[in-house]
This record gives sequence, structure tokens and C-alpha cells, in this order.
Amino acid sequence: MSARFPEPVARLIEELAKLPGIGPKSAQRLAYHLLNQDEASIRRLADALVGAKQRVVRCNVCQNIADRDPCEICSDTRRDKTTLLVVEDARDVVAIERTAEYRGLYHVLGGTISPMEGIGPEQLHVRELVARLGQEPIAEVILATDPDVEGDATALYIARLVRRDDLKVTRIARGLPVGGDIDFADEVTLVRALEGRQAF
Amino acid sequence: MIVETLSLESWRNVAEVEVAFDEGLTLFTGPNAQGKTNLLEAVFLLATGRSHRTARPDELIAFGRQRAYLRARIRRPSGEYQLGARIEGGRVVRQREGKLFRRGQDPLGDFAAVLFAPEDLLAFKGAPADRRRLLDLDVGQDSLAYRQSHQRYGHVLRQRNALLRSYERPPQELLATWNSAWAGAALALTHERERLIERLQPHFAARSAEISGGPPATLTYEPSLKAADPQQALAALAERREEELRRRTSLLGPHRDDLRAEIGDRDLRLYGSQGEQRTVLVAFKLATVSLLAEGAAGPPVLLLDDVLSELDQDRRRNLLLAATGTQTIVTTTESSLAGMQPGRTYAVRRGEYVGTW
Repeated sequence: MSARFPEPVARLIEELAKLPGIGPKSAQRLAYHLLNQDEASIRRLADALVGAKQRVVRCNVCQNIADRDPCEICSDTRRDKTTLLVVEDARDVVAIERTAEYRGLYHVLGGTISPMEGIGPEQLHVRELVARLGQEPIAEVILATDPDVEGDATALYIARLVRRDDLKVTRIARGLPVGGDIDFADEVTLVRALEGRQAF
Repeated sequence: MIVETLSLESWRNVAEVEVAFDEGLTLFTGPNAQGKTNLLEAVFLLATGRSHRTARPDELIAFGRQRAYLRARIRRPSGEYQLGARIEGGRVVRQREGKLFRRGQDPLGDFAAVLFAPEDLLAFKGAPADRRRLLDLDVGQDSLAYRQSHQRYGHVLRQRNALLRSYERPPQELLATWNSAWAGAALALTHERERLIERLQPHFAARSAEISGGPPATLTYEPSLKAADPQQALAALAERREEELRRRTSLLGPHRDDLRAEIGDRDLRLYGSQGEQRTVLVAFKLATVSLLAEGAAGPPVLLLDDVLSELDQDRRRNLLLAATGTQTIVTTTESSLAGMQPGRTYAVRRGEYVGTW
């Protein structure tokens, strides 16, 4: 495909096409868009990329990406140190922080168990999670992986792994979206919502 | 509902064409390999998101083109809507009135099609997979819960098989996790199939008696997994454990289900003449039409792909009579319709459809 592009352009397209969600066509469009920019704005983009990579570290406690280690959340003394919320990736932390409701700590797994892709617990930050449960005064683990096949399996795996009398393990609820209409919900969601009903 | 028009673009051997259908019987005639089946395949794909001929969507795109488009105008009692599909990059994306939906997520599920092709004729004599396909593709259109359970089970099964393949002895905890996931998904699909076959059975019995003029045939579900709850399912799975580890694949569950059709007490998988096989299949397809017709959308579209020539005069006539009131699209190499009058007729040649009514 890129044989017809000048070599530096072909290289740029190839690098862009490695990004998630970017196919060969989008990569070409992006490359030509970039080439039409003046050098200063290209340099700002390049600096932002390199700067982000250099200044961002992985928090050794929660495995989230952060600008320092331990991260802002892990070192915040006002947070509830007895509750730990387990998520698939860093974006999930941002989503839950945005609610400003949750005051506990996080643990980022970095993916879900998926034998088809060769991902097992060893490829995720499961060992670090188990270590934290041994060291920190955690009383409840909330499993907040996605409610799909892999997310459910990962939650199940962790629940079995960390089971202990003095530890409460919970799974986030699933059901109807807030503001949704019951008559528009699909059958499976409705069944789940009924199963997960709560006493008033 | 009724398919009023269908336009195809870069689909198989069709460059670009629009056809209109009669609300009763529409006939496509022409020699073999001219593109008659391509048209039925398109209607079926709009209803189910799949082709009945290939699992690789790219094969549907005309040679040398990047993508194929289908657009249909569907009329239902409450009004008309547009249903479309785009095939590109190995994927089928369908949309209703411009809004995308994925397979198994169609919230209304109101456009259904029952396709009857020559390769179906011996399904009751063939492999269990042939009979499961009848259920999954045809009857399964009746229920979103069925389609979702089917999809979820397939997904869990692929993950569990991948696990069994990648280890000689999978880590205990990991296998236990996927066993639990399997048990939930397997029980759900088994339950859905049970319900579906229970509802299909009376239609099937009535239709088979109608067509053969003899005693009704019966349909029985033979689930691979016989368990009332996840504990029993896991216990049944534990019995197959060594064999599964040795063969490195899942041996229990709905992917091994079967369906038994009997006339009198003769199992048609083992006995049964060519004629009885055909009777049972015609009865099954018509029963599917009746079952789907009970749903919110009314009767599905019946697609008869070159099967009339496979049936004798009586069965042909009974099939077309039974389909009265159902929109029916027929392809055939001959023009005999056992005395039935099509509302529209097209001659098909090299991907061109010429109306001759």
C-alpha cells in the first residue's frame, strides 16, 4: 500500500496505522493533514507526545497511569483506605472519579482475562492486587469490570481468588440505564434488572 | 410485514439494481448461476445479519469493489421504514432509519425471514449441526433473548476452548472460572431452546399432518446438557473433565444439542424415506413461519430458494397453499408453480432482473 508514498510519508502512515481505531485510510488522511500543518504546530504535537510519555509513570500501588508514584489518589489521606474498586483500565478510573461519589481507592487490572487473546491473570495486575489485600486495611473489594463475557469471568476469577472471611467482595450492579424507558429495554437487560432488584 | 422494494449495490454479481416485490407471491426465474439466490440471500441478511451461504461477509461484495449496500423499504401495519445493510471489511452493519444496530441487539426484531434452500432438505437426516442451524437462524429470529443467549454462549465457548487448547493442564482456578461462565451461558441457551421447541411443536405437528395427510410428526429437543441448576451443570461437566483435557475442547453443552423428528415412533434421523424427509422439512419451515407470525410483526417473509423442483406436485402445491397470506419470494429454474399465479415475475440473467409481469 505505502509503496507509492515517498519514504518519510510512508513511515508516518505506518506509525499512525498502529494506533487503535485507525485503519490504513484514516492513517493516510491524518498523515496528509499533519504534513499540511506548519512546523511549529507539528513540533507542539511531537513535544506533547514525548512529554506525556516521559512525565507519566505507572503508580506502583494502584497500577494507574499518573504523573507521580504513588499517584494523587493513592497518596490522598482523605480517601477511604478500606474500600478498593477494581477496574479494567485507566479510563475507567477517570469515569468513576467524574461522579465524585466514590471516595475509596482503585486498582487497575490493565485488561481482562481472555484465553483467545492469550491473556491470563499473569498478564494482568492480579498479583499486585493480592499483595495489596495482604498489606492494606481493605475491608471491601468492589469488582467493576465491564458486564461482558470477559469482564464477568475476570470478576469471578478475582472473587474466588481473594475470598476470605474478613473481606467483603461485591460486584457493581447491572440493569436499566438511568433515564431509560422500561419498554425500550431489551429482554436480557430487564431480566438482569429484575434479578438485581432491591428492597425499598 | 412486507418487503416492498429492495435495492442492491455491488452485491455478489449485481452492480446496482432495485426490485419491487408483490405482497403475495413474487417469482424469479432463470437458468442456474445467474444471481437468483443472491437476491434471497440479501433479504435473509437484512433480517438476520448473516448470509445462509457464507460466514465471510467479504464474499458478498462484488469483485473489485470495497463495500456492498442493501436498502429495503419495509411496510408494517404501523407504517413504513427503511432497513439497510453495509458490508465492508469483513463486517455487516445494519441500520434502521439510519440508526445502527448490531446482531442480537435489534431491539424490535420485527423483520424476519424464513429461508428454505435445497441444502436444508436433508437436515433431519444430516448432522446435528444442520438441525441446530434450523433453530438458530430461522426459529431464533422469534426471540431477542434467544439470539442473545446464543451469541453469549458462542462467545463463552470460544474462550473456554481457547483455554483448553492453550494448556495441557489449565490452571485449576482459571478453568473453574470458565466452567462457571460456561454453566451460566449453557443453561440459559438450553432453557431458551426448550421454550422455543415447546412453542414450535404444535405448529409442526399440525403442518406435517396437513402436508402428508397422515399422522402428525413430532419434534423433540435432545439437549446435550441435562441439568436444573449451575451445580448440576458443573457436576455433569466434571464427569467429562478428563476427556475434555485430553481432546482439548468442550464436549458438553448446547453446541452439541440435537433435534429429533419422528413419524409414529420412527426417528427420521435413522429411518424415513426421501419423501418423509421432505415432508418434515416443509412442515418445519411452515411451522417456523406460523411461530414467527405470532410475534409482534406478523408473518415473516418466506424465501423459497429453488426448492420447488425438489418437491413432487402435491407437496409443491401444499407448500404454496400453506404460504398464502405470507409474502413469498420464489426462485426457480422452471416456470411451473403448480397452478399458483405470481403477482410479479422477474427473469434473471447475469445479475440483471427484468420484470415480465
